Amino acid sequence: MLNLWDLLILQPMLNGLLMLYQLLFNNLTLAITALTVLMRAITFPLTYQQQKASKKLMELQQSDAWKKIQEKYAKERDKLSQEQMKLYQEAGVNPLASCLPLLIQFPVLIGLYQAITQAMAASPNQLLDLSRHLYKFLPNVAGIIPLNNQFLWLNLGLPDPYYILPLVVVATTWLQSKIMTPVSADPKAAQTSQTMALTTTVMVGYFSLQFPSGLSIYWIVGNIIGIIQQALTSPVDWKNVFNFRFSLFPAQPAEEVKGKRKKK
Amino acid sequence: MKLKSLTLWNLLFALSLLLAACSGAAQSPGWPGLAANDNLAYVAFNQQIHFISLSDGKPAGAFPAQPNNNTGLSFATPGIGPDVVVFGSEGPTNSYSGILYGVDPTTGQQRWCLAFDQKGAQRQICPMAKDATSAGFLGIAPPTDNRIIGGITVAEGVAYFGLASGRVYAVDAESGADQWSYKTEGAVWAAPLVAEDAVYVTSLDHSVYALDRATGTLRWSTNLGAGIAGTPALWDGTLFIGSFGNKLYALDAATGQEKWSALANYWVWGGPVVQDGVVYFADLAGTVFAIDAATGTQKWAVTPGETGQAITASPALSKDTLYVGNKAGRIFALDLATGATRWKQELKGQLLTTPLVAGDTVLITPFSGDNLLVAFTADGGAQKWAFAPSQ
Repeated sequence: MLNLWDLLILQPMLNGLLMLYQLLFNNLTLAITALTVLMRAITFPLTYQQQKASKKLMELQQSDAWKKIQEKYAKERDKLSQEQMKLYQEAGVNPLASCLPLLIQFPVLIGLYQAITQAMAASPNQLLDLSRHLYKFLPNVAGIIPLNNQFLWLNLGLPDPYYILPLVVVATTWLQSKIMTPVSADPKAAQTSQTMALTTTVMVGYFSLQFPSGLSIYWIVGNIIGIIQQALTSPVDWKNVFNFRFSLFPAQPAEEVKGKRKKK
Repeated sequence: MKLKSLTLWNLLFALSLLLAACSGAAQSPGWPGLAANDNLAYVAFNQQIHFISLSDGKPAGAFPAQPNNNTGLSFATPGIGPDVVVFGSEGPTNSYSGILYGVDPTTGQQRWCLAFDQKGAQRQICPMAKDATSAGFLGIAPPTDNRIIGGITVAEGVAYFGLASGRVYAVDAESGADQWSYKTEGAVWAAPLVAEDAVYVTSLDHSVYALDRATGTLRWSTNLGAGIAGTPALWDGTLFIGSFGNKLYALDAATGQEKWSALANYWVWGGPVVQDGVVYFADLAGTVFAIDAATGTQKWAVTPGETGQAITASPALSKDTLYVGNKAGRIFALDLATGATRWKQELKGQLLTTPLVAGDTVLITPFSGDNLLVAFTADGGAQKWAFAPSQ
């Protein structure tokens, strides 16, 4: 029995991928690329909205008024929250506006991932699932299954044994994380964001080592589009992007360090 | 707040990957493989081959004795010889490697093994099969999917089987020495059909191949335009093959020329069976067909379960009854002459493996159910016993 997820998300994406595969010379890499571009284009208004909201939020948080109430109510958390809400209202900023579009994109991301995995159908159970999700009106689908998964040195249904794609995935994920991370004046916040970017990168890198290389193609294309979108919608601080300094411990003000030494 | 939104973004991303990863990894790649000799049933599932007494369903051994990751996952239907059981492994999850084992049919002791790549600890002690890897783009060998997914056919001391890479092998069943191999263009997911002097192999590359049984050289191949995942059936010089193109084909076994084809309602996954000049097969829409083997004329077609409940397996035949299981966990005993349901039973799990008729017993292996093997009386459908690995 089909559920709503399959009907509204998985099936349109899966059959769209198969149509693109037929249109693009039975080349799975081109089809994955095209579908990723298409989905990013469809979700672009949401991405743009989210980026705009994040930028507005960041500007507010760097304003003098914000810093002032932070200092003033440092020990009164409830009061601080109230004052922050006031500032949000005055500036017309909704703190959830940067998260909501992200939540809407979430099912698209998973659907795309599932569609690609299922289209590659490397095992009997996956192929059986694929057969359940095909649109009957698609012409000659049986004629293209199983999809041709050979591309250069890759078998798109298997992990890349030479680790080339996982390296590209890591590089582009890191670059995208850095570009999407707002520059923060607060060293502690900057450090946290850098740790987050690194964690995400390592995690995606690990997945791309384990999973079929067709998914790495999807990650790479998605990352590149994300970078381009960000660069087009707001200026990128390339200096910050290529700032490789990193330590596992948050930077401490010099005076604090001096104090600690004296105690010893 | 800035930190919170940043953390949320990263967490959502991590969660999406995790969920996606889970949705892919949780699924078993295949369903159980079932074979039997006079005394024991052999069920290949996950990391073990279970030996089960046909008389009472009690466990009679397993290979390996305890599940271990080195042996890998087994789903392919084992091949049964007089003194050996041959079964294939997919390798550990996501390793895409394969090993073939020859095991004593009574004691479960390993006699030999043959590896198809060098991944994993077990390959250190299994000799490497010839032609298991191939050269690729600019001399860089592509990763090869060497899983053994299709079943193994043992005939006169030789085991015949195919790999997901498309290579077909003939191996001495007593020693594991490889005799010949032939490369098809797509994955081989079905056990080969071994005839007097030819071996018929179907491939997901849309073709059926007739190979010389002694040498493995190609006699003919015919492209049917869609993937094939079932073992063909042979009757009176005609080869019957079902395909994902919603059709059953009858080909001249000597030349590969098409004699006739019959339409199904959806993909035909399992291979057909033939008896007394009638071909029986089922499709993924859940319909069972009986076709005149000589002319291709339909004798009857029934949908014993709900429409759309896929039948992946070949039907099993007794003298006057056809047994089919579907994805919804129902097994049906159909009258050979009319297709009318004689009895039906419902089990927990999916019935994706071909039922096996052993004397007056019908064996079925539910996938994702409470039991791994269930025995019914062939005539009335009463449950005789059930086996679960933890028993």
